[in-house]
Parts: sequence; C-alpha cells; structure tokens
Amino acid sequence: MGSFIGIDLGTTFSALARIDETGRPVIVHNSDGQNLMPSCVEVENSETVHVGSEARQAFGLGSENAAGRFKRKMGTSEVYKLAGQRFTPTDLSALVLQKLVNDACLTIGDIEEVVVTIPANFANDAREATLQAARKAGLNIKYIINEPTAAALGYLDRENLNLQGIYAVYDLGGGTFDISIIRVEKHEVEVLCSSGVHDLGGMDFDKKLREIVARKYKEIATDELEPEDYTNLEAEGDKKSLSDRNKITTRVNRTAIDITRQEFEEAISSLVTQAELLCESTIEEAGLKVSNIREVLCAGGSTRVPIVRESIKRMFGRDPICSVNVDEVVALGAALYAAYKGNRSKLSDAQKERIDRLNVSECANKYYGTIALERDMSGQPKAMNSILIEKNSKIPCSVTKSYFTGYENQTAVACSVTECSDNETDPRFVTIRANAELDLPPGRPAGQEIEVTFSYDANQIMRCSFVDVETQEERKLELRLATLEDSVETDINKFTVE
Amino acid sequence: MEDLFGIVLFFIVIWIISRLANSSSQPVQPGIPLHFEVNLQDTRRETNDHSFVVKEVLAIGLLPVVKAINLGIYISVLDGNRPVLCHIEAFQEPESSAYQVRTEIGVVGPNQGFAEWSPVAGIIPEILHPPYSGLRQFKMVIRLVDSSNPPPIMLGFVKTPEHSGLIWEKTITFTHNFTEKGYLEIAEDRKTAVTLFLKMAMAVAMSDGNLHKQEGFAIQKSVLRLLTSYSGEEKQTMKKLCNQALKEGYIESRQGTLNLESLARSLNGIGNQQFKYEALQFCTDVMTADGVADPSELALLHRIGDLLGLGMQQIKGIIDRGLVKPGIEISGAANPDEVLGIDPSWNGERIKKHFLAEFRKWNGRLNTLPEGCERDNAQRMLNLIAEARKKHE
Ligand SMILES: Nc1ncnc2c1ncn2[C@@H]1O[C@H](COP(=O)(O)OP(=O)(O)OP(=O)(O)O)[C@@H](O)[C@H]1O
Ligand SMILES: [Mg+2]
Repeated sequence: MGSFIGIDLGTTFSALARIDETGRPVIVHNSDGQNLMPSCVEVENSETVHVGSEARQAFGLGSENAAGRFKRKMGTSEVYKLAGQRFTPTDLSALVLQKLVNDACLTIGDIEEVVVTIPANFANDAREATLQAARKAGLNIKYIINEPTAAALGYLDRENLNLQGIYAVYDLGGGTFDISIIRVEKHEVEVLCSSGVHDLGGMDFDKKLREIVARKYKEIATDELEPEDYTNLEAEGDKKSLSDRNKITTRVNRTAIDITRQEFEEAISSLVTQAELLCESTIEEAGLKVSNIREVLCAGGSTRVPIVRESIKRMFGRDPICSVNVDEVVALGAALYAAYKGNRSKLSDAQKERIDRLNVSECANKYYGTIALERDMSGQPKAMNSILIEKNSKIPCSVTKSYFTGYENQTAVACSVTECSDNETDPRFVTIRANAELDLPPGRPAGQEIEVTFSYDANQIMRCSFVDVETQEERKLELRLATLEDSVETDINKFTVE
Repeated sequence: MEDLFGIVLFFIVIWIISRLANSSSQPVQPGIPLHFEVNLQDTRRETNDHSFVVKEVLAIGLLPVVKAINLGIYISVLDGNRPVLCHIEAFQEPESSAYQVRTEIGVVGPNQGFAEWSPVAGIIPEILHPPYSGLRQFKMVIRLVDSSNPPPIMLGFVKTPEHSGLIWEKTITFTHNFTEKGYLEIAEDRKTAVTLFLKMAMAVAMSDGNLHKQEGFAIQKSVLRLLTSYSGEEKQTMKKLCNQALKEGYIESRQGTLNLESLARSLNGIGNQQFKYEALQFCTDVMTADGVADPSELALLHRIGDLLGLGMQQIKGIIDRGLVKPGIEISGAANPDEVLGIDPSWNGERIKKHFLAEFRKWNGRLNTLPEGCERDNAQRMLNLIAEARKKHE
C-alpha cells in the first residue's frame, strides 16, 4: 500500500512528511538523516547533480554551478546556467522534489498521493510552475495547498492544544510571508482569509545583515565588502546567533566586526512593518478585530527572530504559540491534506478514522471578475474590472450579476475572466485568465441584459457562463485553479476569435 | 513630416490674426460687394528645406449673417463621397480622423464683410490622406457656421443639413497628385500584412516547439485588439482572415514549413513601414506573454527586426516598450507622504486606514505586474508605505 505524503517545498529548506499507520503525520528524514533538506542544487557535470546539504555549501560559498532560492523565481523566465547547462526555476524545483521523494522511497516504499505546498500569495504562473515541477519529478500530483492552511492542519493534529475558535497562522519562512485567519471547530478547519507578501522572508533579513557588515567593514577596513568575504551562509549563521544573543562578533578577512541585535532589528524594522501591515489588512479583510483572534500559531523558521515575536505580541496582545517545530509543521499538514484529498479506500482503518473526521474548507484566494465598460461622468465609455467573486469567499460559491450592452446594434460582447489580489478596478492590474466572445443578434437597442455567473467549486474549478438573456445564447469558460492543468494547448481553435 | 506640422500650425495662427485685425479696424464700409463669395488660390510657401503648396481660401463680400454671431469657417475635403483623412489631430474632426480645419473669426454682425479678396483660411494638400493615390479630383466644402452652435459634421458631411448653426456652404473642386498610397489601398495591403504577421507571431510562439496557453491567449488578445478598428461586415471578413492565418500558421509551424525569412520578405514587399512596426510589436506581445523574455527570445525578436529591415534604435524601442510597459514612475527621493497622497490634516486613524488600503493595493499588484520596472516599482511602494508608517507611529 502506497503512502500519502506532503512536501513543503521551501525557499531555503524543504521537508517531506507522510501519514503513519495510525493516521498521524510524521516527518520522513532524508538520506543524510536530516528532517530538513536545503533547497539547493549543484551541478558538477552533465552526469552529476547534488541536491541538498552539499549543494548548499557550494551555493553559500558562491559557486557558479550552484543555485538556491529559486522558489522566488517560480513562474518567471529566469534561467540559471550551471556547469554550462540551462535550468529554469521549475527544473531546479523538480530536482529538489525528486531528491526528497527518492530519499523517502528508500524508507517508506511506494507513494500513493502527493501534495506540495505553495505560499498563499503565489501568482498563478508560479502555482502552475510548481505543479509542473512536481510532474517533471515524476510525481502523481493532483493538489497543492497553501502553506498557512497546511500549517493550520499541522497544528490541528496536536491534540494537546485543543484548538477551538478563530486563529491566525503566521508563516514567515526563508522567502515568503503568509498569514491565514482560520476558524477551527473540533476537526474542521475553515480558512476565512489568507494573504501573503511575495518577497519577505529570512533571506531578506540576511541581506540587511550583510548591509550592516558591509557598512562597518568599509568604516573599519576602508574596503568594499566582496561577496566571497562574507558569504550568504555566514550572514544566515550570524542572523541565527542574534536570535539567541544580544551581540555577536563576526570576522571578515581578519577584521572583527561587532553587530548588536538592536542594530539588526533597526535594519529589518521596515520589513517587520510590512508583515504588520499585512496582518492588519488581513484581519480587516476577514471582517474581524484583533480581539477576535484567540491565538497566533507560528510557522516558518524566521518566526524565531525575537523582534518578529515581539511584533506579534504587540499586534495581537499575546505571545504566539510556537509549540510545534515551526519548520516542519507545513509538511505535516500537507501530508494530512494528501490523505484527506486522496483515495481514502487506500487508507487503513486507523488512518481512515483520523482522516475521515477532518474537514477543510478553503476560501477564494483572489478576486475574480470580468472586464466591463463603464461610462464616466462625461458619458465616455471606460474599461473597468468588475468583480464577481470576492477574495475570501467561502468555496464552493456561485455569483450571478447582470451587465447590459452599451451600444445599439451591438453584435458581440467580450467575455473575459480576470483575476487579481486586490479589489482592483483598473484593468491594467488584473490577469486575464480566459477570454472569448459571445455573439449577439443584430438590430437590438442598447441595454440588452447579459447574465454572468461564476461558480467556484470545492475542487477549485471555476465555471463561468455568459448568457444573453433574450436569446439564452450562452458562452462557457472553465478555469482550473489549483489542480494540474497542461499549459500546452494543441487545439488551435481555442485561440481563434468568434 | 514633423516640421511640416509646425509649419502648418504657424500659418493657421497667421491667418487668424490678420483677419481679426481686418474686422476690428475696418468695420462696415461702403463699397463692400453685397454678394459673399469664396475662391481658391494656390500659393507656394518655402521654409529652409521644404517647399509646399497652400490652397488659400479667399473671401469677398458682405457676410451672409442676419444677426450678430460667433462666426467660424469649417473646411472639409471629400474624394467623391469618401472622406479625406488627416493624421494630425489638430486638423481632424472632433470624432473622426477625417480632415477638418476650423478657423474662428469671432463675433460678426450683419453689416460686416470683406471689401476685397482676403485670405480667410487655407489647406495644405500635402497633409491630406485620400482614399486612393494618383491624380485625384477633390471637393473642398467650405462652411460658415455659428461656432456657438456648430452643426455636427461627420466624415465631411453635415449630419442634419437643416441645422440652424449651418449658415452658408459652398463646394469648390481642385486636383492634386498623391504619390503615397491611399487609405483604402493601405486597408487592402493591411489584410495581407495581418495574415503575415499573425503567422510570424505563431512562429515566435512555437519557437520552443509548443503553443503555450499564455502565448495562445496573447495572440488572441492582440487579434481582438486589432479587430476593434473594424466594424460590420469588414470585421467579419477580418475575423475569418485572422482565424485562417492562425490555423495555417499553427499547422505550418508544426510541420516545420513556416519560415520567418520568407514571411518577412513578403511583408517587406508591401513597402509599408507601419506594418513592420506592428509585426514586431505583435511578436513582442506574444513573446512577453509570460511576463518576460529570456535572452534567446530577445535574440529572436532582434532577428525579426533585422529581417524586416528596421533600425537597431527602432527595434530596441519596440522591444523595450514591450518589456517595460509605461506606467507608474516612483522616484526614490520622493517624500513618502506625498507619494502616498496623505493629507496633513488627517488624523492618525485615517492615516492608518489609508496605509492599509495602499499596502493592500500594491501588494496585490505585485503579483500581476510583469517582472521588471513596474514590479520593482510596486515593491518600492511597499517599502515606502512601511517607512511612512514607521514615521507616523
Ligand atoms: N533561530 C533562527 N533565527 C533566525 N532565523 C532563523 C532561525 N532558524 C531558522 N531561521 C530562518 O528561517 C528560514 C527558513 O525557514 P523555513 O524553512 O520555514 O523557510 P522555507 O520553508 O525555506 O521558506 P518559505 O516557506 O518562505 O518558502 C531561513 O531564512 C532561516 O535563516
Ligand atoms: Mg516554508
């Protein structure tokens, strides 16, 4: 019988968990015996590729043939040249996934179902790139899950916490910051709202620390700090030391440089403020007040930074809960989700008992709408984005709105499905996910009703329909929002205009 | 062409000024012919490096007005029943690109007029864009109108001939030889060109062997944009043509028979610079459909530009515009409060709300904007908001 596994594909570290015989998630260590594997790749030559600790060393030392932190570039056209070969972020992520799974297979055997986690704020391209990486790695993947939702599931599994009520999941990792507001009722988790900042994480803290070192080095040694003088790994190590100590001394080319925690905190304060802004904004979006939040559940290694904990305490008026291993909880939750979404007939009775009682309901991650014309004060038509499904609507949901034709003898309307992260009216700042045209009979006056319905189902598939009310002529569009979709199209007719 | 615009504007100003002087310094005069008449006279103007013909409109006689009005002279030009167009916005009808020159005379009364033939307006044939090239006969329609209540003129015709703002109208014919293609001829060429550059775009999209959805949608989006300038039957024809080109392009590139060089050669054969820009623009849009273009893609775009015989400067211009679309510009030294639109009179609560809204907006945009300048700007905005908020805490 195959295993159900969850993979936290992190910016800096990745982890893999499985459901054990009793139905509880446990971390599966890799071939080095580690729970966490660095998300780094080093290419020695066309035959030899290292993934994990060894690659991290090379990456930390600035080797040209090593890459890390490529998660931030997922879904972009960034290309990494390693030992003369070209790799996309998707290729590199696929290598990381492959290594995790191959290592795990040595101890756990076959794999039944895999779920990979993504940041809540991942743009669509990045989401698709992640799914593609998984497929490239040869995984049978059908679902992905947002990291904070996975973390919530991971916490839910801790019976001693006895969760009940509304919580904030605060996930600050190596590369991204996410927050979700969840409601927990026994074994049910309902995500009320989630959002994230794409480029905010431990690696940005490292960068700030490096800036301090560069400044001081210039003062003391009157020389520019070169990358090899003070590597990323050294900066990260010093940052971690500053979580435990008020002052550290680091050596750069035999020059001793003192750094105090206060200096470091000053340097990252603007980043912490961004996290605070996101928390407040998310709570507001959920229609809640800080006082409604029962506890803050931490995930991600960077929640170990003292000023981050202080910021949480200041905002929420209480110390955050960090009773789980913050770098593992996401993978644990993902494994639970794999079993929850997977074929349950493959579960043993004991596993089934634990999984069956779970209930996870997500909310829409983005706003979905359509482009409509609006007349401004002077009667000039202007294109605007009109929202149908609000962000954070509980799914499944369905919304119908009426629009009207703007011109006499209008013989077609453009049917577009847009996606955006904020309640955006400017069409320049939305992503058009699908486009079509609905033909209308000629000779009718302006003001013909077009009924638009967007239905978002629990499998994250959205069906959109545009109906000319008089003739009942309909145009349908379908989007798959969290499941694997082949990005290559072989039917050219999809792109012809009607 | 650019200097010509300047010259044209300059002459129009001269006419208005000299005429205003006329009407104020010479009020009603005995000896003004009772009948109002206009005529055309060719004059040749020279500038340093350019010589061109101006068809001046001369007027004589008592103005045909029955009460004091705000008089304007509006001139349209027709080729048979088709409008003659113009590319300079100052010489276009308010709602179309049909040529129209409007000269405002000012307030005049029933007893005023021109004692002798005086220039009141003029047109420069060189800036006209007729439907066909060659030696053409044109109709110049001169209309006296009440500028406070002008009759609606569309494509050279008064929509409602009985409109009370239309005071007087006369048509004079003239001929002119045009060497450049007329707009109807260009429209025909354009059909051929569209087929060619759709196929080029398809070749670009399929350069990695596959048609990705984003690329497909980008082509579709560009086609839809292209279709907005057509209507009615013409639009249907264009749609068919585009769909046909897409399908052929797709099949041919899968078979490996689509050849960028021969497509470019055919496009060059049409001899219209504008189409070449459009073709490169189209290819750039398709290539940047996923937000960015990698070096090999950029190299392909440059090659297409070369094949089309475009200069390096022009190629770069189009490609750069495609990569970094013009938008928000945020200067690093700006005062955050000002950039964020914070009113100094707001209280703390209001400011806090504003920060949250701005943060949400830019954080949301960060995920939709393509990589590069706009995205960096969005990130800079987030940093700015955080800085500003720290300051206000
Ligand atoms: N004691 C510590 N003090 C400060 N930072 C720490 C500490 N321990 C770990 N970190 C930081 O936490 C980050 C890694 O956390 P985690 O593994 O949760 O992130 P990730 O999953 O790789 O990234 P993401 O979830 O953002 O994609 C690194 O930046 C690391 O430096
Ligand atoms: Mg993580």
